[in-house]
Amino acid sequence: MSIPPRRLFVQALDELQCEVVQVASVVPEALAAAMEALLGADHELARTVAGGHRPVAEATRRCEAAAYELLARQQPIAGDLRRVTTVVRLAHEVERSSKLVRHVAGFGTRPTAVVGSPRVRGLLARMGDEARRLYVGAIDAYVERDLARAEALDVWDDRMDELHRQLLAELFTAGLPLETTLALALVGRYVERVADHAVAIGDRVRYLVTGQLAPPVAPG
Amino acid sequence: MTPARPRFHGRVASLERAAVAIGREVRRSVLDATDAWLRRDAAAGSAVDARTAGWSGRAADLELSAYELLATQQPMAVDLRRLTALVRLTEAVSRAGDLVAHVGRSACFEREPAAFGPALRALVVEMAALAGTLLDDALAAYEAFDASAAEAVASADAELDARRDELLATLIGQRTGVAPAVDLALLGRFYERVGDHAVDIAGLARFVATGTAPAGR
Repeated sequence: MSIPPRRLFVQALDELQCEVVQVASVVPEALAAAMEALLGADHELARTVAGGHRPVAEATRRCEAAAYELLARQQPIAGDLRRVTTVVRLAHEVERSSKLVRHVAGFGTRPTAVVGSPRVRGLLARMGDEARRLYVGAIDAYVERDLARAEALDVWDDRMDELHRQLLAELFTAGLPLETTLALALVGRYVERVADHAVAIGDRVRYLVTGQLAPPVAPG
Repeated sequence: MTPARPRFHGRVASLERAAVAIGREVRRSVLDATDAWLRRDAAAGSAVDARTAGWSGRAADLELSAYELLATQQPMAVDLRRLTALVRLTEAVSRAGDLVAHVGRSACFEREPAAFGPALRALVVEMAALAGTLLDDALAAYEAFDASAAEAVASADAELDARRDELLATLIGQRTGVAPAVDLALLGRFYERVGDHAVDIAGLARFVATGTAPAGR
């Protein structure tokens, strides 16, 4: 007795989706660890986080390749097609996010601890926390195909941008050594970008559910 | 050969041309955005930002068309690679466009004009020019599926990264004001990212030509 091809396809697609979710879920955890390593001057942890990027990048490339194979072999249409192509783009987002986390961890491996003032440290910790939550929210929205949740990420991201502005304003006046200031400004930028990738995942959820890729363009 | 294939190739080629065209618009705006940024010209910066508005939507449409062709035409080998590369190309030009828009918007931040000296300004101009050239070369390589260009673009990108390190070192050495120093450090990051996208695009050209997957970065 043979299994109907459609069932095999759906099964393969489910497995692929699980794989991409699994690798995506590494990012928020790695980000939290990278921030902890940076703020706690824990060089060993920072090196571990930095070393975690390669397996993530490899896993995303496997997901991408598997998705293209499904496309070529199964010729999915409509919702199935969107599910497969969403895996491709999610894999790209995850790869980029993981690279950014590695950059953050890279600052944590520097011999001179990047310490900063208490307020700067507090803002960085909050940014890291917000970005992690945004990312988890994006993955959940994807798993649940929850459009409302995906669209809420945008509002959340505005908070992130506000924190980033506060961080820069604080850095401008904190009187830290310039080298530290520049390093922390870049860390802030990387964390903000991780959050942007979470929003991009949300955009992909919108596409998955509705078939619409871009939100209506706001005037101005 | 069935008549369906030439039609397929014609459609792929027209999507590729449209994606490369977005890349060229991005490239042209790199210098304008930089110029606005250096002069703290909010009007010019906003104009660049406004110009970028349509890019991501156009790129998204091209991406969806690529998927449609993937699903309906069942391309194999080089045809499959052209479409998967196209998806990545639309992503790269769209993200490079976002970066240029960001530089345009940053020109509007209120800062002291001429907060940094001629050496730093020259370095910024140099980085912008390098980023633009990298995009030019990468897009030309893509059009020709020229595998040999990937290496040249990657080594030119190493030059851009070196300029960025030089920028950071100069900033720290010169005791520039904190705000301008942070602005410049972030600006340097944008050019670095534009360069990365150019390297990706050239890598895609090689991937289409040879089937060698772009190296993990």
